[in-house]
Amino acid sequence: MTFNNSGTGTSLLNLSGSTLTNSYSTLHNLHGATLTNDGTGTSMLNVGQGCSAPGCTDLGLTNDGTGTHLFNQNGATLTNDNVFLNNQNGATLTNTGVDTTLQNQNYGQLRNFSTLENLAGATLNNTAATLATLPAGRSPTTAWARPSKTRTARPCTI
Amino acid sequence: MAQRKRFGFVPVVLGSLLALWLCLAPSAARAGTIGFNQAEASSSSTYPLPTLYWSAAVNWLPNAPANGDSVDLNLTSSQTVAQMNFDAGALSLSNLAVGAVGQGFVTLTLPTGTNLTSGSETIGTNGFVVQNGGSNTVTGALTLAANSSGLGVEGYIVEGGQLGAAAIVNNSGADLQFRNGGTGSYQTLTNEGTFIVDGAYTSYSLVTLNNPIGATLTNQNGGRMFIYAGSFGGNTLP
Repeated sequence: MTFNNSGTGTSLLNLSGSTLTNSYSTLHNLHGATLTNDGTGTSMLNVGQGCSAPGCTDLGLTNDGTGTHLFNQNGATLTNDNVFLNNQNGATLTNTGVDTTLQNQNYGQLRNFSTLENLAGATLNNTAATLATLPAGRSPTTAWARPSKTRTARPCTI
Repeated sequence: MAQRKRFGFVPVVLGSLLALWLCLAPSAARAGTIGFNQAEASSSSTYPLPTLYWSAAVNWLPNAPANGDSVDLNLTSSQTVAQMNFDAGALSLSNLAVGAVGQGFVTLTLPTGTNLTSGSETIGTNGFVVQNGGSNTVTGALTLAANSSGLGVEGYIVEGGQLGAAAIVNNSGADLQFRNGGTGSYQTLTNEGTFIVDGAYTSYSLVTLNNPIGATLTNQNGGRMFIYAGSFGGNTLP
């Protein structure tokens, strides 16, 4: 299943204690659109099962394009579990606010080729997963690969 | 005598107005409120449930719905159920309400090849719409679980065709689902119930649903939204 949130002025808001689950599917945030995960108790779960089959690399959440913004803020939790979270091609991923958590876990692959901001007391945890930050302009061409070693949780608070 | 001539046109004018009213009155009556004929509902213990057809006049009071009507497809007696198939081709209503009281339940099915248009639609407690194809266009708001009781089972499943509304409001306790190819268009979609976008996992990313360009989809106040790929890999809805 693919759900596209695309275009300037297009918004997908997950607020006030709600849950948004992208399960074994593809969520695209593209072309100037905004995806916001906001508020204490609000949860966004991007979950899948690592695989090597053709086409499988598109599974997960992709934040793509200039002016495109993904906000995780104000105490919300964004969990990337065993699937891709791509931030690329001029898009911005902002993780901000006290008690806000971006959790990359269980072979999840958070691949940043653009701007990833971790601000104002937010936490970015990378647990038994891969967090790759590459120069802008690069595109995610690497096939799914499980991390060669397990990384322990390294809270990153700025 | 001159005075009689001067006002002699009055009876003629009044007569003309009366004639005009008599001509228009039946049309005005047709564009009224049409209610479901409760006598056509079945007992909740009936199985299999007979299908009722929208075009059958016997299912409605005072007559089958016509363009411009407001249709009330609500079951007013508990322990009764009804399954209505929309077979009216193309129809434009001012309003449509679907629901049932108590233990009652009503389902409206919109099949392929039909086109329903409404000014507003309200799917209340124990009301369900299943759209297999065609189009359902709501120029105003489509509201699910209008009473927000959360006690009944109310919802809308799009399995094919196009659901369009200026605003879609899925309140607490209601289910809104797009499954296997149905598409949606809206300016705002507000979910406080359960909103499921589900595509069978016969191929990766086979089914696509778009949040319309410029639209706002808000999942709030404990709402649950799932983008889901069938039962792939033992995947189940949380």
